[in-house]
Amino acid sequence: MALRERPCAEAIFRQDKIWARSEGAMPDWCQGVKVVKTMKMIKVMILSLMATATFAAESVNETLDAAADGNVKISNVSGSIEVNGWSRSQVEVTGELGRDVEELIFKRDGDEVTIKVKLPRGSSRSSSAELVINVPEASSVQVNTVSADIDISDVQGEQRLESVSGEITTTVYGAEVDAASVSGDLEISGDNQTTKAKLHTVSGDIDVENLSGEISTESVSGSISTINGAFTRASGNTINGDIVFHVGLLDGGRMDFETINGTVDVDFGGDVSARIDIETFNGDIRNCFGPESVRTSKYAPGRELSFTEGGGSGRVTINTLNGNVRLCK
Amino acid sequence: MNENDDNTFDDELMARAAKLATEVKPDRDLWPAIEQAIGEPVRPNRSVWNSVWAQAAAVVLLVGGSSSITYMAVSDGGDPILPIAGTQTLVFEPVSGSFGSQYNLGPDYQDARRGLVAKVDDELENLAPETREDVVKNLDTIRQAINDINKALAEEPDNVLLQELLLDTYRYELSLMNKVDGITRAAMRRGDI
Amino acid sequence: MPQVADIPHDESRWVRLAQAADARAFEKLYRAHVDKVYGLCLRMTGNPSEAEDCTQDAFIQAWSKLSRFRGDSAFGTWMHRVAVNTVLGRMRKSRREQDRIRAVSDVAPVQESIGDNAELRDLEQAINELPSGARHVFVLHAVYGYSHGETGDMLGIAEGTSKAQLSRARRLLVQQIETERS
Repeated sequence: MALRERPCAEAIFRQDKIWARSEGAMPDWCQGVKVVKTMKMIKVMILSLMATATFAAESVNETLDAAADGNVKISNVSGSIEVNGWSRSQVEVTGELGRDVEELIFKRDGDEVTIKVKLPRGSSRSSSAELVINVPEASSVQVNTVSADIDISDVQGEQRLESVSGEITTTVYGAEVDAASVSGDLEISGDNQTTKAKLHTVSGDIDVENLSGEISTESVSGSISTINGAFTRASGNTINGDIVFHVGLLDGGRMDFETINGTVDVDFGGDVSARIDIETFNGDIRNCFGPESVRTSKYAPGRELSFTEGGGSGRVTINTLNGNVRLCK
Repeated sequence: MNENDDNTFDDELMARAAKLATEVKPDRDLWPAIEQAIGEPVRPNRSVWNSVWAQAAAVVLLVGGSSSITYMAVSDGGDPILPIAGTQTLVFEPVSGSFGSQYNLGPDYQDARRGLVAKVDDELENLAPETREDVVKNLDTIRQAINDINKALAEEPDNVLLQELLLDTYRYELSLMNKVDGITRAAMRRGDI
Repeated sequence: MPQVADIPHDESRWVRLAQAADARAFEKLYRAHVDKVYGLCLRMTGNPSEAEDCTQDAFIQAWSKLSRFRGDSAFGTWMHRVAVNTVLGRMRKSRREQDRIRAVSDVAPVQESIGDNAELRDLEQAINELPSGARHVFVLHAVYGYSHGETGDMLGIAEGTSKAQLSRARRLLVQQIETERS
């Protein structure tokens, strides 16, 4: 919030009033402030819930005009966030704020709309907000939560989604997606357009369907599954999680999979042209096509499999410590 | 139907709801499937055990291949070694420079790592209990993997696959610790406009 | 909170043993609490086979989280929370199916759990047909007697939302049962 709006906002906050949107209803101690003059560019709404006010949940239903392809930044702690793209050039927020929510900030600054659920410092984790947010479909969206689930649909712009334990579900349409969580699962669907995806969790599972282009997936103990698509670059890394990639490798493309204890299951779903190098310390290697694996050395454990398939234009490497590897096409 | 009828019926509804049985016997015995699921893990993942594993593995490296089996046999039956500083996380000292010049886990990295481990231990307190538990469990998973790989490297110091996996696993540990650091800092910022 | 005398003397011993990975002790805890956990799962999911899976998952979860149970509440109460979390966790995993409108035929026929009381059976059937948010709140608050604060805590929703969901549940149930009667 710009510096000059602060005193006005704070005065309202202290007076325990909810500031209505229409300029006519603005309290007169704010008249001197520049907020009125800049209303066209910066619209600020603060729904403030003082501790002395009612403890019941508060409903939200507010709309702001917005750029057709701007950025929408959303931040929440617990509850849920649902974002839907629509054809209007407006951002609409509806939903409910829990009793401990201090404020919901909903503001526009040029091309950027911000929606932020603010809790008092040291508040209990059970203060939640359940919000449904409609955004212009060409928007790019950035969502950050702690435990709230994130559910996105029909958003065509870039998506940056981060949660600690909330589940993240979204569909992508050719724009980049970067999703990360600690324990929440990631569920990403595409419509087979080329895109770039970066999906990292600590223990959440990663499930991807119908994506193409470039993908990087990583988890410590979550499982990774990517099916239906074709990639120029694909990588999967885990310590314990199983890795499944049933996708095509495009000409000259590269796939790298590495896990310590998980299994790796790669199936190209058809012909492939690549140089393939697989190595495990304690795992088995099962190859559906081409040569069988061999012991790395006579006196030590370890198996490896290196061969060229098709024209050898791409490159596939798979390394595991204890996990089994299965390769098919 | 007038207002009064509705209210009476509504009250009756709530009275009935309170009478519904809260205990219901399932049609079949569900214990066998549960017993099987909980019996599975070969390595118990509670921290005290992990500490034993870590300390033992670390000493294996220092003592050398031929004595390792003796040591492991002794520590198996002995008292569990208490976690250091009363935390739930695995603590161990990676041995540097023993496994070839392919990668560098030298003193600088170890110093930085020690500092980060201590910092993260403090910050773990600020996470929600379920998240803290998840992170601790996954840090233990990573450190256990490091131990497994170190053990294998003790037998085969020149194995390139093992060296690469070890390096990548250290990177995982670093990345997870940085992530905890990032979450805590973001949480502390959350109160600001 | 139950008095110390109410908790079977054996139970705290079983809990301690189970925390030290004694599966036999955990089985005793299972036998003592399975009916309550199954009952909760059944009422919250409205479906017996789903409730069976949920009950198994809940005990498996409880086993791995046992170290976190500090004995400052009764084990049964703690087990209840684990069960609710399990129901919610399983719902999130099958969210795509939940998005479909729940066909009445998906709902299982009512249990014989409370004898031949037709009115209670009608109520059970009607509860099973509530939308999930309203059903969860109604079951925890009206059947199991948790306060709105506790219900909100267990479901991860605001206390106000819990009250709103309860009103909604009552309205829908009254409508449903009236329709059945007429």
